[in-house]
Amino acid sequence: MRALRGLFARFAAVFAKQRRDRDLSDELESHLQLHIDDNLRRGMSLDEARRQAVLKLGGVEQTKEIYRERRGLPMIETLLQDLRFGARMLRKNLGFTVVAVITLALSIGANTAIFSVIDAVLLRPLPYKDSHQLIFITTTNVQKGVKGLNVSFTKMTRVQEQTRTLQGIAATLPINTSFSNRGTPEQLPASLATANLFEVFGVVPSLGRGFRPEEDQEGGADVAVISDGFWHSHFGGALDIIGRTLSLDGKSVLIVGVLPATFHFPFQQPEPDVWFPRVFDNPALGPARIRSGASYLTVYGRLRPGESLARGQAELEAINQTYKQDFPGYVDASNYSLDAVSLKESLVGPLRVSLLVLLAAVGFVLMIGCTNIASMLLARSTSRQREIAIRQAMGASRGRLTRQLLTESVLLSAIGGIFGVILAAGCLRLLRLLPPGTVPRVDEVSLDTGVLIFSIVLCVVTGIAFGLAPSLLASRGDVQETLKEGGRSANEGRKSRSSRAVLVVLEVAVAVVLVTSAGLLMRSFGKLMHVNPGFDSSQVMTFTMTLPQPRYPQQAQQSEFYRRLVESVQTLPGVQTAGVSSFLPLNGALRYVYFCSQGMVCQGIGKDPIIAIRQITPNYLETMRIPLLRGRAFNDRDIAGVNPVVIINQNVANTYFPNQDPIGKHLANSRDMIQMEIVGVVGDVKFTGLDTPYIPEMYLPQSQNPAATMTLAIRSSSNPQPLVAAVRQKTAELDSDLPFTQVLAMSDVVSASVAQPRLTTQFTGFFAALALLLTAVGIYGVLAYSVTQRTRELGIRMALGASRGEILKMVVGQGMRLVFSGLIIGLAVSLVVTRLLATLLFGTSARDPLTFAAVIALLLVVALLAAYIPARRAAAVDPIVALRYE
Amino acid sequence: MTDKKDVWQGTLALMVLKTLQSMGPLHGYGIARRIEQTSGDLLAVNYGTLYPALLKLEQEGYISSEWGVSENNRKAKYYKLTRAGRKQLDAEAREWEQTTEILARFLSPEQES
Repeated sequence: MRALRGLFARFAAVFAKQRRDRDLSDELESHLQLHIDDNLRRGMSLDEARRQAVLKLGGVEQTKEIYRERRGLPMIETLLQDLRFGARMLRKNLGFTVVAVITLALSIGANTAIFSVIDAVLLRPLPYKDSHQLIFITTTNVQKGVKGLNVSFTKMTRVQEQTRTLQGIAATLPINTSFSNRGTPEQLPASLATANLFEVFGVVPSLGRGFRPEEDQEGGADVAVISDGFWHSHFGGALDIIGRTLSLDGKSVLIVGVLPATFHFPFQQPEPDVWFPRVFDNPALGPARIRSGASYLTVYGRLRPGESLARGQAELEAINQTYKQDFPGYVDASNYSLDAVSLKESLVGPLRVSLLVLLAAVGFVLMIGCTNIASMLLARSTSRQREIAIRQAMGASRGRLTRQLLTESVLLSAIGGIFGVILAAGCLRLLRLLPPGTVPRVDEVSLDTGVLIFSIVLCVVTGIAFGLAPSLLASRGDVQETLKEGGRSANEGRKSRSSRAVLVVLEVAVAVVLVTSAGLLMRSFGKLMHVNPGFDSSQVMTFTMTLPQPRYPQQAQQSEFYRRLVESVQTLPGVQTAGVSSFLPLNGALRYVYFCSQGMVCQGIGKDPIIAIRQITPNYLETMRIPLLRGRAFNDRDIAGVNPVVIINQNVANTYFPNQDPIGKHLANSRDMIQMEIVGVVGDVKFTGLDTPYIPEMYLPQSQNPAATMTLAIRSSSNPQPLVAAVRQKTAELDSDLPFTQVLAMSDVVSASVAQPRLTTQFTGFFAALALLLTAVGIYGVLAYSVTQRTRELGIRMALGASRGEILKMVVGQGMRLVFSGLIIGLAVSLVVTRLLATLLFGTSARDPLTFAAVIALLLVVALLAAYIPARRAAAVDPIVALRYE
Repeated sequence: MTDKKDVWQGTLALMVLKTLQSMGPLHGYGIARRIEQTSGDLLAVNYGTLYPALLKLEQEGYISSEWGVSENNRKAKYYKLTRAGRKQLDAEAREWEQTTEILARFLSPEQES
């Protein structure tokens, strides 16, 4: 205890040093005086009294020094001393310090930002109770190898009845609901959910309750649970919200619960504001199809404690087998398997490779940054040789010198780190501006303690990394030699020069790997952007809406509404053409049906091939500029009750009607087998993503196949944005209470569909550019320094007849030799490393020769430039001045 | 000078505590003189050890210090025993007696038993 108290007192004494020093001086002084007084009393002369007293006291300064050591903590004091000295040195070399701090701030900042994203997205568990138990259940079309499909209500119910490994299985269906708030209609993201959803996710409503089992039955009461965000934004967090009724989709709905603010549901974007029970109430499908295996549910499960994912998966497979045998007629009976993945994996898995690539990229940038600073420090330590030699001569041990120099570099990296963390905080703010869903869990990203510890460790490691070699080398110098040279800027030590050369080679190699990776990603992204989507997105504006079931119960009413909407919008000045479609390309949603074409043996639903279906008005194809290849588009005579017609895409024509004219042939939806006449063939459209293959598609006239949810597309002769208000006006004239779910320029839809690869490419590109810049600075630095050091030698060479061209060639050659070595090492490493990128690349080989060639060329140009500037300075050396120098 | 012994390590603290107990608050010079006198001038207190020893005792809370004025009007830092110091003195004194007793038995002429 006492020892601890002593230690504490010593620690405290590190501060307020001057006051304590004065105190000691006073005490010793008073001691001396008392002694002198005594001696005088004994009859000594004043001089003698003083002499005796001083003798007795011993060396005042020595006493003070021993006292001081006892008083404080010598280790900490040395550290403080080193820090003060380091700060002074950094202030003295302001240029070096600024460059180093900027380099470090950029690289530590980038590392901190990327790590904070990885920490939040990949490392942290999902924010649910015992989230490791949560799984995501999907079906796979075994025949086609298409994974991640939805699950049918029937199959989900079957699992619910039979499972032993799961404590609960829940499902959701994203929908929209229109909410009338003081006269202005508003469309809200919503979800149908099974009654046990909140229980499965381990969330308890902060107000009210969740759904009761009887509310999840056919004919249950109209109730809803709302999100905390919605509760605050629309009701000001009023406590009497429970028991209020809202008008949603024209129905009176009783609010029974509010979810806590901490509950997030990132599996649906934007996150639902309103939750309804009864997932089997899917107006788009109808009870008959829902009860026979139509797959439309997103399904989540919670494993029992102690059960593993593998056992859950095995059980799901077994249940799927008996389902197949018991319900052979169901759509999802034969060709579909049931799969389970951990919920977190389902959410963040697709992003893992991108994030790891980015982490590697920023790691490389940091490595190059460190290399640069190490190289600068090496150069500086050569010029500090004299200072260091004097310190050694005065008795500083090697360890002490190394510690001092390391303190300096860690101080440097700490300053860089502070700016870096500020920079990272700024970056994260930008990240939150991305469209929702681009990076899942982005709202959880923060600079928390874990991330800050990471940055601090990074700073220390960085400081040691770039400081260790130079400080070891510096303290190893031969004192006598250095002092004898009288501190003349002698030739740089061979060791120091060769370590600087190694650093440049390393730097170039790392830069090559990074630039190659970025190059491949850019080339892949470029290819992605040049994919012909099959339509023209420019100057097209889209408006999505859903007609509320209560007000438009008849399909004919829905069809009539959209017909009139198109008619009305087309009269607007500035609108070239307009049309509606049930699904928009590259916008996420789509619907497949089973079909059977003329000449095929029909096997019924679940076994026939599938085709993407969308309902359109006649002018939709023209509006989107989807080319009509054969036959005709729909027209006003294709109405309900007359000959059903269909337009197919080229993919269907080629696959099912090879070498024949499909016009006039028939195909049918396997469910009803009503034959539809093919009247046209149109070009293929990239529907699910620019990087996915074309799929079979068919277009039906919406007049013959109405739907409640549609997207209106208008093509304008110029920028369509100003037309939004007019379109809103026209829509309100037809129905004053119909909100748009989504208003987007088609070009934004296309660009949002590649937001993730764009982000990866932009970031990697930025980091590669940074790496290249740092490398250029590194090459320049080494050569510039060596030219300064060799001024005399260059002067002699020139005096002996070397031409300026030869000097230029010599210096550039010296740099390029290093660059070549780095280039070769870097290319070799790239060939291995870039294979890890393969999953991110579209239409580009990981060994794309063009990219590699471009990287080599780019690097050589940059290196030549970086070497040329110091070389020109070398060639400009005046031999007379150079020889007189020093 | 050469015949005077330096105070050996470990005992100085005990002597300081004992001096402060018997003399009351005292300055560093006074403590040194008192120790030298008590030893019959057989011991020489090295001031380079005295002040660090005082500091250590103070840091450990056995003594406390305060600036005051000496009998002949000199400013001086006075040290005085704290309660913890009194206890420590008792403990150390007992221990010391034990040690010397044991040593005395070793060093006294052997007795037949």
